[in-house]
Amino acid sequence: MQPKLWSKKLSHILLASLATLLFFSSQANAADAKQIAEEIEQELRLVQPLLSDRHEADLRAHIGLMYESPHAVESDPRTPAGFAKDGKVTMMCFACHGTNFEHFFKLGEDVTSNTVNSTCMGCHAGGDRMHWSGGPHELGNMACIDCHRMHNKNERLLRTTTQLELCTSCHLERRSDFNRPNHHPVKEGQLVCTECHNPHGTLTPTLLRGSDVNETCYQCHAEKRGPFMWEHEPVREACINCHNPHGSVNPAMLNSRPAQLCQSCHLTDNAHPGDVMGNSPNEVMQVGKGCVNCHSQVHGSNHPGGSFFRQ
Amino acid sequence: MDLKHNRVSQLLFLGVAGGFTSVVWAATPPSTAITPGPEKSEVEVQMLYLNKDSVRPNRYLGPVKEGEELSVNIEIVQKNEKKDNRFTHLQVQGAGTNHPYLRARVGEQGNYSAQVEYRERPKYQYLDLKAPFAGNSLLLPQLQAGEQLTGNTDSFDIMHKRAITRLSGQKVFDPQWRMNLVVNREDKTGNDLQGFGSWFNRTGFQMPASINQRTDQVGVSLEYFTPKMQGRIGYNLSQFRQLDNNYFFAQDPNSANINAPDTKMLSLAPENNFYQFNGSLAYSISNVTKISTELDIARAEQDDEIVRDITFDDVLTALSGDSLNAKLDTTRFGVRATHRLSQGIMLRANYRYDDRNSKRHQYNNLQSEFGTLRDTRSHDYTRHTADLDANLSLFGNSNLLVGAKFANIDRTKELSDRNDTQEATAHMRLRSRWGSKLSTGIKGSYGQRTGSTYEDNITSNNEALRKYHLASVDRSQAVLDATWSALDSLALGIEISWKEDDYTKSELGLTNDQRLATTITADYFPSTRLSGTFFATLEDGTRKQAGITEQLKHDMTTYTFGLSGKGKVTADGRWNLGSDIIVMTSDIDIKASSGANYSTLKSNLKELRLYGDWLAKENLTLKLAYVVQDYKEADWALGYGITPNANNTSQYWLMGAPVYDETIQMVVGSLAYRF
Repeated sequence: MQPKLWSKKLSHILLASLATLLFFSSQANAADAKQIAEEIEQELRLVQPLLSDRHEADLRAHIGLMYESPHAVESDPRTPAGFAKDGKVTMMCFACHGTNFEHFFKLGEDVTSNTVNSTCMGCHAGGDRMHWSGGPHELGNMACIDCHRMHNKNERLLRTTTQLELCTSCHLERRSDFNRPNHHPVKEGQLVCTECHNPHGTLTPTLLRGSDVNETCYQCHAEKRGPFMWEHEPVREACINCHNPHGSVNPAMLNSRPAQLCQSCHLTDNAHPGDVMGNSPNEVMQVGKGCVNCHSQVHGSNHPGGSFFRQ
Repeated sequence: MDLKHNRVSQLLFLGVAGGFTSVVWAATPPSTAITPGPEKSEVEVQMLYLNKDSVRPNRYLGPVKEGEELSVNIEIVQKNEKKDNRFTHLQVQGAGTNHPYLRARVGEQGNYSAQVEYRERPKYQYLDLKAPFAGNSLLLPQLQAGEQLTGNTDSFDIMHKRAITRLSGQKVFDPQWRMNLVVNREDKTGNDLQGFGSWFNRTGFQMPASINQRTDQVGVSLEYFTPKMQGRIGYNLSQFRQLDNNYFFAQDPNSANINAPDTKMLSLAPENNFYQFNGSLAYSISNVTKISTELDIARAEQDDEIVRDITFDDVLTALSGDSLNAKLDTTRFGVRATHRLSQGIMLRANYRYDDRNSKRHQYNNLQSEFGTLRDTRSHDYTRHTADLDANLSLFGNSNLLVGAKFANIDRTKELSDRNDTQEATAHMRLRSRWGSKLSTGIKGSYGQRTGSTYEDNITSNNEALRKYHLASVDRSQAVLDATWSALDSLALGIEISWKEDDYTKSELGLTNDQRLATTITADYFPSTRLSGTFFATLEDGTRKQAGITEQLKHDMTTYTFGLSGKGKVTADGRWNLGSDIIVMTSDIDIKASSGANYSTLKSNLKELRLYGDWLAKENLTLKLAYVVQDYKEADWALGYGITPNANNTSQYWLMGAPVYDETIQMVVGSLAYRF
């Protein structure tokens, strides 16, 4: 019944092959620091007359970071620092900061959210940003630079190192949710917020990636999709009828303890399932996995005898 | 607390991998963007030691067994951006562990990217649970005279592992067109804690049911982009397969003759296919008017072979054919329009159509044979949702959103007197920036859903079953939040959220669900060498349930506290130290009017992490971390093992899921070398 653990063998094979690659790659990793410094000096000379009061060292670092980001790839003509096919230099810093350096993206001081977003959307309106207009973050007066730093080092140029840190800087309660005993493995780095949500805007509720709650969950939990011979309606309606996907003190991220959760709907004065509680907390419908001790197929069953989700 | 993904999380959570996503077509699409940051080649060797067996701290990654674990991480980033903006990025994490991650990405920014990933992701639930089954099967052992089943048990780990292989890429045809492709295979193996029982007979047993399944997914999309119009069409496919049969057998330890036991035939999730076509379009009619729309058309089908358990011959007879041949079609359409009346006034209108339509003639066969006794309760509906909002810019850099939302849901298979629910919600939100130091927000909504009500004179469980999603409810919600830069180096935050679902129009079931949570945060950066963060959340929740003769009140109080700090010991940043503290306590009190004695469920988590790193040479970094975690969970529901009849559990054989009371310690050290 134990799963086959191939990982160690596979890892050793990977390790051996990658070590070879590593050796050769290290030969090509000697960055020409002098050349980079000269390029930065050239950039400084370009902007210096307009920025005589700015701290030169900061600006050097700033430009240096820019040249390590996807926004300053000279051979990609779409980027601000890219060269067009005819060899002419493109807009460089002016593309975002304005032709006279009107703004340095200090929100509320030299730029508004709308101006920031218009600047970014000039190139990035497609793909995931398609439904930005009218989305909750746009209507919340948020700017792209609330989450992104154009000169940062991480993938997606986030302002922070992780998505969890970024999202919880506003959604404060999520800081605690993912530290509950039962949670999706976000703080462990196995999942990120944007796997379920598209913060740039969707036409679905709560910015879900999938077309509804369940379709989002089925991306990883395809075995719950069915259709089943015997369906459990609250499951079909929405997984969040019973689960809190961010984290819970209850097992399986349930909204409540198992027996009590089930008895939010299932109760009669018949012997089973009984009134709101059994006669004793030690009954089989309370201990272990509660009702699921017997009704294990609570997400739906394809067994001819599964009408009560027992098999 | 790992909110900072700081050095300790890199040490302890080897699974952290920036580019990996678990979901497939819905996730952030691949990109041709060059890997940010400088070129690098780094190899890191890491050693971890865990002082005792425990699934608590490393449930998603391991290790969970006492002892040491050696792993290797490698990262190579190469760029050629000056010439033709090509790049390669190779990442290996956790090599040598049971949660390795490999990612190899190549591309040319603005032209194409291709990526291959492999990951193994375990999830541990319990170690060494006991069941009276022999070896890796669900067969009972043959007993000799005088032997008891309780003395012939085996140990089982309840865990599963996902092994995921993914190919993905993007091709940019010209600045307007690009295509995304994702192909994903996931094999999931392990054991699940399942049960089978009969409440009426008060007999049953838990078992380690085998998991051996595969999900294949393909997603392809084509995107179009101009500043005025953006579009995307896509096709997605998902196939779920059982790699073994869709059923299994388990022998019943309650059998009268234990050497010739009753055998139960149990089912696994049926195989299914899912096909989806989707299209999105956003268009700027003018500088002030925009419209965006989305269409999803999908079919889920399930024609897996019906489990031939002759115990239910009557159902098998009613079901003609070998499979259910069920199809579930969904059509979803959404449209949103925004119009800026003036610089300070923006209007938004949304409409959404959501239809689920089952096609399964076998259901009709069952219903005609058994009526509502075995109604398969398919769940079809048509939902219309519309909302209208106005977003107003007020004086003092404030932003007021007011709006209303309406929904009508028509469920075609429900009992006749509760086909429909209608929802109406009014909502508002006021966000304000008070200078550059303070921002505040107030959000509130009140809504009513009109559906069914439930009275306490019901007599039949099936006919009048209370259902959440059909019940009439008044729903109120309020959120207050503020962030304040009290000093240049100190930012404070507070969020208070309250919600209430009031079902008191019904006399049965969940009648009230309230939750109040207060979170405070602080981020402190007194110097470039020192930083700290803090958060605390107090959450109070109450659920009230009403029965016919009993009432129930379910109180939950949870307190979560986190504090972290880190600093540069030397000004040049060569030596850094940090620590994290997490404390969580939770009390759940269940009070029944009958006086049943449910002791308080208490969970207590305390965790301390200390970590540091030292840049010994320009290309050599040493890291060290220490973690101690104390976890206690007082739970009347857990701790019952293989001895039936104990504690009124009747003839139910539980597997002994433990009540936690443990303190574990972990030490991690690593050496990273950059070439």
